[in-house]
Amino acid sequence: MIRVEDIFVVFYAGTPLERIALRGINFNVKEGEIVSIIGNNGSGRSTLLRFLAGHISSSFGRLWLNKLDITSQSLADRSALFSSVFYDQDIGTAENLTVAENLAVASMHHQPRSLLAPAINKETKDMFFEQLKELDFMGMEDLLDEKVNKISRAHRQILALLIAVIKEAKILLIDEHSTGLSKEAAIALLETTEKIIKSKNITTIMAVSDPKIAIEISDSTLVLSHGQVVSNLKGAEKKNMTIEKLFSSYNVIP
Amino acid sequence: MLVMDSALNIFSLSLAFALVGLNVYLSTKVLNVTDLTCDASVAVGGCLYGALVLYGMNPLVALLLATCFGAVAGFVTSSLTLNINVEPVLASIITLTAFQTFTAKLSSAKPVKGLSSSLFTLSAADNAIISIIIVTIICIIFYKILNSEYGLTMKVFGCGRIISESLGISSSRMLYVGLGIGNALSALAGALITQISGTFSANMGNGSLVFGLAAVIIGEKIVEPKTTRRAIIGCFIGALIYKVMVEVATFGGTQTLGSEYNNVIIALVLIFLMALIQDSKKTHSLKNT
Repeated sequence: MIRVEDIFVVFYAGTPLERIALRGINFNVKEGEIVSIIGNNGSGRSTLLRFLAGHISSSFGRLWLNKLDITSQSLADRSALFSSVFYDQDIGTAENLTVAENLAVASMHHQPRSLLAPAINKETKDMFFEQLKELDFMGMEDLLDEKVNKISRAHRQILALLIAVIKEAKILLIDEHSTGLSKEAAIALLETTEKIIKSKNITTIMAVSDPKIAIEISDSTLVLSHGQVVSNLKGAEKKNMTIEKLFSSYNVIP
Repeated sequence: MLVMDSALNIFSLSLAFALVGLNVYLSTKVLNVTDLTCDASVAVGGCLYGALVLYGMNPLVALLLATCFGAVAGFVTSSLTLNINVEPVLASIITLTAFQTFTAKLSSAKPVKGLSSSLFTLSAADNAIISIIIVTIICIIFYKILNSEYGLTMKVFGCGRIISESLGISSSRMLYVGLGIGNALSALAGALITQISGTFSANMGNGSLVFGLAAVIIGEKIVEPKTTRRAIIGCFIGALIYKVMVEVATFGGTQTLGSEYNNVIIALVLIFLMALIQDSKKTHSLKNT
């Protein structure tokens, strides 16, 4: 479905501060597949995900959606395809709006926006309430009228996930979304994330700080080091991989 | 009778300035853009309306044209921002400067012979009624738009470029529409000011941005802007309070210390008012806990 071909990303090109963040990344993602990315800090995980989302552009290489070259597509053009849930929460949710308003914007993603029809009425609110109740995540359904910058980090990340689901994004990009949460909240978030991804069968590319979880949750695992893919673990190879082996062969710190 | 007339005029002018307040609210609070164009759009709206009426045009058509021209000022600022990549603040200063020539030309308009500009001699009460009708209609439309699906996308635009684009909202179109609507409101305010005061000049827009900001901020202090409706009401209350304060301070200053002390008196009254509001809120919240 998605083919990443020889991607280079260079920051501050041509200046003394020049830094090559990605050096020729290649991989394929099949439809419905869950790909996890592991690597140390500075290995290029976030850069890769931000490139896919369209926040930064590549210096070299191509990004293909099936047979379509989407390398130079803008962020707004890519928005129907990708949806991101990143550590940086401002990327996935609109912070000055309420939870209901965020969901409403996502639900009108594919239709022209009316100038007079109210954005939120009682019916849409009831619908969101039912959906959140069904999801059953830490009392999320009672937060519909709260401003997003007033709700907890875990709730915000779930909201970003829901936005992705509601706007029917084909590919979900996740970057360390459970980092910075308490242990219980992080586990709840990861469980709900997995539930949503598997039930909607969304193609997912995710970076998780814990390599163990990354290997368990995914169909294939990319190991990144210094901006390069050093290993693409699949099937039996991935099954037999342990934290110790990861550490000794790729110097990935658990 | 004279006191009554000037009181009515102050009221209608505060209604007009509340529209500038709505412009400031739209650009700073909703779109999160610092737009200084409104000084220019007030002047252009006022001068264009005045000149067109003096040349014998139907006042309603003139009002509409003036309003549209304000939107043009907004478009100029947004196109400068988007096409030559300058900050909106700088872009609006450029627009402001360029439009000064235009308003200077317009403000030198003389009435055509044989046409009397009877419109500018309407009574204060008539002007007040006209202002109330126009401002009410505009307010309802403004409220409807902000609460609509389209208005919601404007609010998302104010939350940042990345989030709005990843929700499929085109930032450039939002900037055009947002600044266009905002400056159209300011130009309408300018036209109303011309109508109410009966005169217009090239520098009539000077200081209207400060006025609009004051209206928004005072309104925010008095009515907590939890919803769009409260924010709009706050704009009107803020504009009225500020206008009355300015008039009283100007009158009092001229009578006692001399007119050069007017501005410092306005500032002092404003400080006193803010402190008073802050104080009452504090005691209120203490009672609640």
